[in-house]
Amino acid sequence: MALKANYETVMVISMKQGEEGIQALIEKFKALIESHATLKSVDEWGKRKLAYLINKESEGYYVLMNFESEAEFPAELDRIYRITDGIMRSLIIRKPDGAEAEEAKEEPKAEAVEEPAEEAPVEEAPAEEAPAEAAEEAAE
Amino acid sequence: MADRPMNNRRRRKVCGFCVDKIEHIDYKDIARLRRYMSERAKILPRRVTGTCAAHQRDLTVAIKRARHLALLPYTSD
Repeated sequence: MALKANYETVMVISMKQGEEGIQALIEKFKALIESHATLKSVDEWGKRKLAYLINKESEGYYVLMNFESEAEFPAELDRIYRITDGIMRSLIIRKPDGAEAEEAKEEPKAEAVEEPAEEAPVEEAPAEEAPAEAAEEAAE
Repeated sequence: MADRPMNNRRRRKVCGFCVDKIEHIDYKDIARLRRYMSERAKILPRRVTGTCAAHQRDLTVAIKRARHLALLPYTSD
């Protein structure tokens, strides 16, 4: 019995590929994944600024894909990522077991987008706490 | 004395991930990960953020994944 698992992969495509080149690459990898595994979802984040320069480029085209496959396929996918021109970075991770439950959780999160007004100040607090505490300590 | 303020005076830090009941820290959640990094983009130690050990381990992995994909910097300037 071949064990299947859920994987998540992100690829960063160089903007030098041009509009068509990018779409061609996305199609190529979609087809590749579909031929070896079950493609669950594709999420194109689109053009995004890189946090640091990669090969003197400052932007990349991000694509996230979820798929379910046997354990051999991710290695093959990684090999192809590495030999494909225009792929600046890639990541393949196995979703933690019980990822189904996690995905179910992610959805309500998306619905809760209306809430950030409430959440944001609370979440920011930890960062501000440190200096405040340092001040407290100094006072002592 | 300044090094070790008495425990009863210091506000107890709680792990932000435990509070929000996040089991798996997502490397894509950059806004959240940023809060656990210093100005110079270093990962903040547990003693600063109050993160619990289990979540700190997951956090470092998540930040490193995000760095690999250029979602977060390895260093600033």
